Amino acid sequence: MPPYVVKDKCDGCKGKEEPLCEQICIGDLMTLDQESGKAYCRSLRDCWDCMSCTKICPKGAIEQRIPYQLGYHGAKLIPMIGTDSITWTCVDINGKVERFTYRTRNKK
Amino acid sequence: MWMCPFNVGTGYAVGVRAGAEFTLMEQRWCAARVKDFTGPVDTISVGYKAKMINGKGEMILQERYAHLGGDAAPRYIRANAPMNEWSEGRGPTFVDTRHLSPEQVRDLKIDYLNERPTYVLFLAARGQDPAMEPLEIYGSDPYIVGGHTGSGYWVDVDRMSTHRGLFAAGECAGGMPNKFVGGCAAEGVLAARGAMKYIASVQHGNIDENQAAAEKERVFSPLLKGLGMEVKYNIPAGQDQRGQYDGVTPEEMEERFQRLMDEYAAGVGQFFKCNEEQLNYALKHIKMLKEQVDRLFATDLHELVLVHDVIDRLDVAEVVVMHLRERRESRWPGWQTRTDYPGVDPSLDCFINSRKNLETGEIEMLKRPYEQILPGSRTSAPSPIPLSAEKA
Repeated sequence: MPPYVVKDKCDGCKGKEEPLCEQICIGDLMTLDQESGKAYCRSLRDCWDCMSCTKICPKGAIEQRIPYQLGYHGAKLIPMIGTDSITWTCVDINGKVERFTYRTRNKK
Repeated sequence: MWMCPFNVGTGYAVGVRAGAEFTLMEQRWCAARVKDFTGPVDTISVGYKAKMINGKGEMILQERYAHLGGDAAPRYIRANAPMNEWSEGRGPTFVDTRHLSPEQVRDLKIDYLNERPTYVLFLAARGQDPAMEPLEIYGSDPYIVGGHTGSGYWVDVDRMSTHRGLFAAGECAGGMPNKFVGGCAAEGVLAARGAMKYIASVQHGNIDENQAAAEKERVFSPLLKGLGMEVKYNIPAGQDQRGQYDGVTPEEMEERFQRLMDEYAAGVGQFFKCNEEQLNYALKHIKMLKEQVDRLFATDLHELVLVHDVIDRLDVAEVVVMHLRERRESRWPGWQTRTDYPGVDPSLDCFINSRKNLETGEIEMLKRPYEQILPGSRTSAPSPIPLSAEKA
């Protein structure tokens, strides 16, 4: 269930030695395209769907897709990371929108 | 994919190559999973009390496995039940979530957003509401994971393997099924203590420079193949250029290998079942693949890792198939089912172990007796299946 990088949003994490998605991917799958200076997933079929790259991207440039053989086109799942919480927005193929916000860190 | 796809069995493979002893490699973890997505099912069936049902709406465990304990049947029975329904013509199979309230569906989705977020996307991509439609389930591919089943190194109490100084814990340590995360972590502590004790008892040795050089050669040589060679084949720009070297890519070998294991070594495509002839076929072709390993090549460090992934998978798979062949009975249907030996053989109520003979390169099989340390029933289910090494 591969991640797709939106070209216009990705800036390759300029100034960093490696973009954040490359640093966090446990499969060594996200990497920088040297020509365009933007990130991409080098092996879509090896992705473990953990969405770590999608969550950590500061530009919101990564979209997660379900391969068409498993699910129909048009659904979206977008994470927004807060300091101690996360908000997920999910849109299904019929346009139904659901939002989930919950705490991800315990109070100090 | 359920288990981490980057976990390819390297922990086992290093010991296989060193001639360490392994146990219960035939006891594979074959789970019931959300179909097509391979997502967790216990989250729903245990956490939200959703019952397994078949295509006819029958409650599978209560109606067909009551004699094995129904909902409390041993884990391999519960995991194998959906695949039995499919092979006997009563698919598809589901966990019935239609009793859930809207609040429970929301909680379920939040559980998944923490554990496997794309499952919520998967439901959205099908326009599916679990309160209206049950969730479809199916068998996973078999996994060799000693944190769940008994597969792994034969270890002592300190978790040292039979290869002196090599310690194993968690998924690697064999003979201790159902450890899961907590047990694996605890075992890590035991292994670390054992290793400290061992280190204190030995003197510093000298590094064998020849051995180190040979290992470097083994690890890096796939990267050097074809380096600086002229392009041999006509491949249009923009397409995969790796065909320029006349060899085998790790993806090609893995695809061949995975299909071989699924079809001939009791994969989910064969409803987890196998016989002697299929296993002999698998062994023959694993050997042929191993003979072609020196043709694997990599064009960058990422591909070099993939090359070693497939080499490690082959070393582990050979041992797994040898174990499946040696257990000529069906002790844990699903995890280990032989169509040519359907019943349980009381004389095989033991550990089946193996080790590689480093002189001949052959995997040699041996048996170790089962000794009951704690008194009581070895299976909680009132079951006609006599005994099992796991606790239900």
